[in-house]
Amino acid sequence: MATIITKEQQEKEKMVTLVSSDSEKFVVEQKVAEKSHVIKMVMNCCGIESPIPVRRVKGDILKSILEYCEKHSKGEAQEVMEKWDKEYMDKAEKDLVFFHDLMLASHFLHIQELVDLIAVTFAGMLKMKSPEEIRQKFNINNDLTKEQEEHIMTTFGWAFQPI
Amino acid sequence: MAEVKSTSKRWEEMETDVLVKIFKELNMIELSPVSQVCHSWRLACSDIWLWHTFDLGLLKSNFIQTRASPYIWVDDRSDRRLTRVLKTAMALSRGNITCLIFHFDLYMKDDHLSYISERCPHLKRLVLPAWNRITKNGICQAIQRWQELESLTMPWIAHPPYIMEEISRNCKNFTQLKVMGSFDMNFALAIAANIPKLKVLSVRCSMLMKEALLYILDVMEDLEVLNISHCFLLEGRSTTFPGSRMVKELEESILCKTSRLREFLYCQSSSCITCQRMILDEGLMRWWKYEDWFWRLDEVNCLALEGYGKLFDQSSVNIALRD
Repeated sequence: MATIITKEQQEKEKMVTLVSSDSEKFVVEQKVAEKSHVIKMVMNCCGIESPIPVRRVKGDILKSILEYCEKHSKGEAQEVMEKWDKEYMDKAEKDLVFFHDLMLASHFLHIQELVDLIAVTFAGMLKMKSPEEIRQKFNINNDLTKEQEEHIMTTFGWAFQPI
Repeated sequence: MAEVKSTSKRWEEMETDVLVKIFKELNMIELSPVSQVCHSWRLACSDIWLWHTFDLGLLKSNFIQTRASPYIWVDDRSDRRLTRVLKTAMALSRGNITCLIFHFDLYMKDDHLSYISERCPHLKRLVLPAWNRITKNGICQAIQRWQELESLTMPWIAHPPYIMEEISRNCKNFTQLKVMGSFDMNFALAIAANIPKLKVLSVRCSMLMKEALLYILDVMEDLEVLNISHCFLLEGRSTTFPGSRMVKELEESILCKTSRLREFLYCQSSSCITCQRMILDEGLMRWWKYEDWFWRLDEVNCLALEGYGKLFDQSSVNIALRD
């Protein structure tokens, strides 16, 4: 019996509490939190006893990120993961504000696999679109001067032809 | 620390680092419209991290070999296509290219070379295995602009001194040279006289005159790495194969001289596929017969070429081929 209790204690010790910028608490396994290079460093130097504040990331984003980290700490088959990643991204890219925050948070927390996944997804959204279509999709102001635009059009004209 | 703001207006205010990580997934043609979205995206599209190496290894010219100099005829469409690709790449990269790679079947003209030399002032490495159509003036003018050049991969040429002199005059940090095709006494003399500080030399898969090898080993005291793997070794006065005798194996006295080098790479073996191909092609490797990547190899890491990269991938070739 004694050994079982110790084991349970060890399991308990492996949990860590993360606190989002809007004070939402998440209790996750250490190996899940470790997917973030930044949190891993914090845990290495400060331990996991006290809650770790993730000040720049809001609760809904942190929740989604931890969902990703948890799935990716299980070591499942590649095909399973690829399918899961695709569904995860399909959902994320529907809301561009959410997608934007997810991207910045993945950078901030240094989760390399997620950074790469988001980059590929984002790049996919940019392909086959004209500059104006991209601006509209992401609500971006065109702050290029007329001269710059003219120069670009004369240089790149051929690349914009439909395929 | 400020919280990440959730407004949709922030896309143009994203840090360049974040944008660059996304844009590295795009090829040159996909980058073009993206660079036109707004000022900060335009800057990120030309980031050195995306552009330090521009590998055009998938682009070839349509050409016919001819009997008279420059022994090659290239169709106009190939030239126009190259102009277009270079114009786009130079406009996007905005001077950030430090390594340029071309295919051995890409025959550019002086105009192309001049265009890129003007727009890649910080070039450190050039891989240009075909210069039939480039004139002496053309290459010299380019070298004059490339003061930071450190590494060059070039074909065999009949009169190498002028280019070595130009490198000596302009490129103070030049240390790596690869010669493809043939390496004779003219080359050895030109290099020793003008670039005595050369550190790395590769003449792999070339017709190599033993006399030239000996001269390099005797005179080039600063040379650290020499690659003569799979060479077709010849001995004798004549620089052409029938007038010379083939050397089957390097003598002990020559191997002794190589011991002071940090690295001496040598392979002359009947069981080596590359050596077999050299014999089959009678000393002049017909690269086009073999795998696409075959010519890109080198036993010296810093002279080998890695993957083509994203900027000019296969789908860019398909678009570039549309006229």
